[in-house]
Amino acid sequence: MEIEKIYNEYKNLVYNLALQYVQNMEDAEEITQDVFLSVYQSMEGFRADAKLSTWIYKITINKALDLINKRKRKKRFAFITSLFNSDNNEPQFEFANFNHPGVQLEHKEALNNLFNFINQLPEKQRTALILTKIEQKSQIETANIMELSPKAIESLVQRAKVNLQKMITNSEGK
Amino acid sequence: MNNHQIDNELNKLANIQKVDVPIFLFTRIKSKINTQSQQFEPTFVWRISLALVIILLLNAAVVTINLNGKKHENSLAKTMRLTPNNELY
Repeated sequence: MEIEKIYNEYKNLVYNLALQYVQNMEDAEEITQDVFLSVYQSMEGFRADAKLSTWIYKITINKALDLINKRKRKKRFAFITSLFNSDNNEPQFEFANFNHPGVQLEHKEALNNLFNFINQLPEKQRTALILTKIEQKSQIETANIMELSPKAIESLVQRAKVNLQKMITNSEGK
Repeated sequence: MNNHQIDNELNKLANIQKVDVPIFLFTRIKSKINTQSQQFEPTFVWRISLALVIILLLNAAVVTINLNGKKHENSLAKTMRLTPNNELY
């Protein structure tokens, strides 16, 4: 299968999934580019018995988490350097603002708040929540993508809910 | 906040709509692919060169150690007035 065919078939899947992780167009575009570059480079190594969409889902999740971790490392480094350089009044690196094109204006504030909490969840819980609640994947599909059992997915979603509950309650108390 | 309320919160995620990819994106990906395929692939060549250099260095080290060892043996034999070979007569 040529890369152009794969791109045309899966571009929206990749871009939208990336958006659920980073909530801004620029980063989602960067992730989409990285994913298809990766797909092109490892097309020969792809096992024909595996489902192409599952494979692309996995690559997208990994690339999105890589980018998020890279940004966090940069932010941490900027914080450490600012400790040693207190005169430096330059703006520090921040995550790009909430700029999710799939969110309508009337839901923007509520979803921005919700994503602030979701982004604080551990990676596996976040992925399980995104796949089941936003991408509307079944537990079995999510389990295949995450290479876990459906029971493990159920438990991850449950733990994610408990953590979100705690975070929201704490924020309301402040 | 109870279970019902958190479910309500999470149901808000269903309001997210799917969007289309910007049209220029494939052109960018294609140009990245082209640049990569035109680039000389250094990793494989670098790995082989590094392996060869390590082998050469190991060889040189073994030879040097052997030579030093022999010199040491000879000087020891001289000091103790021993012959450094097996010829007895």
